[in-house]
Order: sequence, then C-alpha cells, then structure tokens
Amino acid sequence: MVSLVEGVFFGTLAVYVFVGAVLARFIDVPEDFYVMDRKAGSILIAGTLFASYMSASTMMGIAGIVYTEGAAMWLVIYGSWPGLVIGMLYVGRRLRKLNNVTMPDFIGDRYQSELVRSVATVIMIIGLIGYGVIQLIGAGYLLADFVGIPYQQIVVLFAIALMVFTVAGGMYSVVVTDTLMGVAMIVTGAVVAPAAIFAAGGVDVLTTTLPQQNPGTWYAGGANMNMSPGWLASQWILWLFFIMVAPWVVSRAFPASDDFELMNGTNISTFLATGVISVLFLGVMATFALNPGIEPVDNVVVWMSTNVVGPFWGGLAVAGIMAGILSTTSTIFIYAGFGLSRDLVERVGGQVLTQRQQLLGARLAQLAVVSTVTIIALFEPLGIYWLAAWAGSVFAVAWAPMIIAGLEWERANRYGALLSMIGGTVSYVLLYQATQAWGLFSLPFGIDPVLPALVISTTLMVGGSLVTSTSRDERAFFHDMNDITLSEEVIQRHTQEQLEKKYNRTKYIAYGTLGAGIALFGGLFVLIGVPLL
Amino acid sequence: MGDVSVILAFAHPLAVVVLSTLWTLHILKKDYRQAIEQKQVAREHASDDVARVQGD
Repeated sequence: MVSLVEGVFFGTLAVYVFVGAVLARFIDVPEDFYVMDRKAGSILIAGTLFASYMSASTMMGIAGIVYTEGAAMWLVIYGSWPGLVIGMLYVGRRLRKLNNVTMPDFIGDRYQSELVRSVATVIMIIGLIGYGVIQLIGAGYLLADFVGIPYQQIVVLFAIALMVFTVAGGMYSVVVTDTLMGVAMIVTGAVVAPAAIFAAGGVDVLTTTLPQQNPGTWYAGGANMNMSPGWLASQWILWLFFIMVAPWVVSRAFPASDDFELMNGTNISTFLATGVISVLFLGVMATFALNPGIEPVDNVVVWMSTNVVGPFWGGLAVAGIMAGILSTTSTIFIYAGFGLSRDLVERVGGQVLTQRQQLLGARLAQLAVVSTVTIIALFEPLGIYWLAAWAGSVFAVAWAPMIIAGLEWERANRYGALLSMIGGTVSYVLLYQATQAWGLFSLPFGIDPVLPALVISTTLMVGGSLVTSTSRDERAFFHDMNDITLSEEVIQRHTQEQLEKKYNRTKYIAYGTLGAGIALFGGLFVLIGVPLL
Repeated sequence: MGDVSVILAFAHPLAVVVLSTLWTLHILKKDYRQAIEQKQVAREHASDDVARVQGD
C-alpha cells in the first residue's frame, strides 16, 4: 500500500518530468530556453517569484528555527522580502532593458572585460552549486525519513526528474511548474498553518499559552537563542543584499513580456509571499504547543501536513514542500548551467555558434551541472557544507557593490570590480573562519562577518575605480545604457488604448495588493499583536 | 524589546508590500503617464488633420 507521502513524492516528480517533456516542444531557439522568448505574463511571473520566496530553506530549515525560537525572529530579519522587490523593480528592470539573458551578460559588457565576466561567472557557479547541493542533500535526508526510500535513491530520483525537466524545457519548465506548484505552496500556508493554530486551541495559543510557557517566545532575538540587535540587523542586511542580486531572482525579470507584467508579477508575489510565509510561521509556532518533540525540527511542516489536516490538504501541502525543494534546486542548477554554456563558453570563450549549437550547448551544460551536483550529493564531501554556509554571503559581498556601482556610477571600472569581487569574497571567508570556525576573536555587537566584508568590498570598488582610469568603452556603455528607457519599447509597441488598459490594470493590482496587505497584516496585528502589548 | 519585536513582526511584511506598491506607482507616473498623454495628444492631432482634410 502506497502511503500519502510516497504517493505525493512520486506524483510530484512525475508532474515535473511530464511538464518538462511537454514544454520541450516550445523550445526552438536559445532565447526560448534562456528567457522563454520573453512571453511570460503577470500570473507566470508572480508564480515563479512566489516559488522563489517559498524556497526549500523557508519550508524546512527556517521553519525549524521558527518552531523552537518563535515567529518574530524570521518575520523581522527576513530581508529577502525587500531584497526581492529591489531585485525585480530596480536591478531586474535595469538589466532587462539591455536585452540581457544572464547577469554575467551585463557584468562583462558594463566593465568591457571578459576577465570580470569570468570571475563573476565562476563565483556564481561555485556559489550556486554549493547552495543547490546543500538543499538537495537536506531534502534527500528529510524525505528519506518520510518516504522510506534510502537517501541515495532519493537523490538519484531527484536528479533524473531535474535532468529531464531542465534539459528539455529550460526556463519554460521552471516558470510554468513554479506557477502550477504555487497553488500547492499556498495550501501549506493558507490551509495547514491555520489548521495547526486551530488544533492548538486557536489564537490564544500564540497570545497566551506559549508566552506563559516561555516569556521570550515573541522576542525577535529568539525564544532561547537571545540574539543581539546587531546580529538581527546584519542578518537582515545579508538577506537583502544577497537576494537583490541573486541571479535566480533578478533573471526572473527577463522572461516577462513587458514592464507592466513585471510590475504586476512583483506586486502579486510580494503580497502572496509575505502573507503565506507569515501565516505559515504563526502555524509552525503554534505547532510547538501541539508537539514540542518533533525531531529533526526541519520536519515540522511535513509533520503539520500529515497530522493536523486530512489526506487531501495534507497531500497538497507535502506536494508544496516538494515543489519548494524542486523549484529551488532546479532554478539554481539552471542558472549554473546558463553560466557554463552562455557566459563561459559563448561569451568568454568567444565561440561563434549557430542557434542549434547554442541550444545543444545549453542542454549539455544542464546535463553536466545536474550530473556534477548528483555526484557531490551522493558523496557529501565535508567541504560542501562550508561552501553552502558562505554561498549567500559571497553573492552579497562579491556581486552587490559591483552591480550597483556599475548601474549608478560612471567612474566604476573593471579594476574596482575585480578588487571588490575578489577582496570581498576573501575578506568574508577569512572573517567567517576567524570568528565562527577558529574562534580567534568575535565581532562587536554580535554582527555577522558579512557586514565588515560588505564595507571592505564597497571600499575596494570605490577606491579601486578612483585610483585607476575608466576606459572610454566603459564610459560609452554606461551612457548608452542610461539612454535606453525600458518604457520606450513598451510605449512604441502598444496603441494608446492598450497602454491605458495596461496602465490602469497595473495601478489597480498595486492598490489591490496594498489593500489586501493592510487588511491581512492589520488584522493579524489586532488579533495577535495587540493582546501581546 | 518584546513590544518592539511584536510590532516589527507585523510591520515588516506590511512595509514590504507598501514598498512594492509605492515603487510601482512611482514607475507608472514617472515612465508612463506623460507618454500616454502625449500619445493621446498625437492621436487627437492626427484625427483633427484627417477631419480638416475631409472638410477641405
């Protein structure tokens, strides 16, 4: 007899393989594979962004911390929420107008340097593989417990599904399945979490029962960890800078069919993600009152799905968790593959390929990335855990100052960019090792090593650019880039009636999400926050 | 810190929704409002010209 979790596990993998195979027929040229021919409307952009928010770490690792430390910590330090808004409406929009298909496209062109492009791409590939592998390993262990299949077999099954899915459908697969699975992800927050709160005795469990058991339950520093405000602030900054330049977030702006769809997708997903994740965390917090002994704590959402709702909703919620894992890993691997084929082979290597060869190259790169990751996940080398711990911070320190300076500062040049990327990464890794691993010293106010590393990286970017000269080509690209406005192409492409219609629709969606946000968070504050004050 | 934590826990996600909305409205106003009005004026001029030609 197949259990609920087993059924959902195999069912979800089958959906991914099926969708990838079906969507392969839409892939004719490389633009289809990389940016789905820039045809995605508001719903698809919203769906794929929402799936990015609901990553595997949100539903497993972070949910586990919320279970023991309370919801306030992550509701306060979740800088990835504003990071995604900035990543889409600022970085993504600016890069989209240049018709880029990957982020290193912009980086190499802006600094007129293949060396800068290569360093940025290598940092990206190593960071993505490290971050992706650790998600796969974590998901493998978690599901091995629940599905009753050995870890190695889970990893191989995941790899086969991801291979068919990414090699066949490219960006089409990612965007479409993210949107389909978004429904299942909403169920985890909108159905399972409220059911857990109800089962634990209603809102009183959050306002009275848990605070009586532990008065620190609602402290942002954590119910038990008691982290300092300096640590909280640096975590917020880390997530903000990481997500605002994360390639799998910014590149979500590229498939949008126009600027209006991009803005609509950002607004809808921001409301959905903040709402669903907030309610999910409240439900996870209430689950501690139902069962304080869930082990490992990363399993809390799976436990909720199988214990507080019936099989139908529970099955959908487990599918949502599976979708979170598959969405995160597939997205990360697809950008590592893009980095290999598009950025390193085509751009840095200067290979002139036909469209058919480009497409084949992109697919072979996906094959190489998934195979590499599977082998790493099967052997679990110790070093990969360090790589994963550094991955988010390395993006924040190596990419953020270099990209923002490239967009905003004419004087920014390749020397500053190289110094910033290499100096930022090295200083972060050394500071992390010295403070966290070797215990040589500690940083004041409990701040994370990412903060001083970000200051060093920014200083190197500015200082390096000031003491060296900026080439004529770099300045010319900067001016050309600023001469293009994203709206120009949209305005030319549409009639006045179409523009009015799109303009009004975007405005109403923005007001609608704002109204819904005020109603939801205002309501939650009155219901839960006010009794606690 | 308790009260501040509770307020921040609910204000932070709402502030992100507000940020996204206001930024969108700013982009609409800055990049599109004037262009749409100009397009309307151009269309009215064009239809006036057609009417004038037909009248002549």
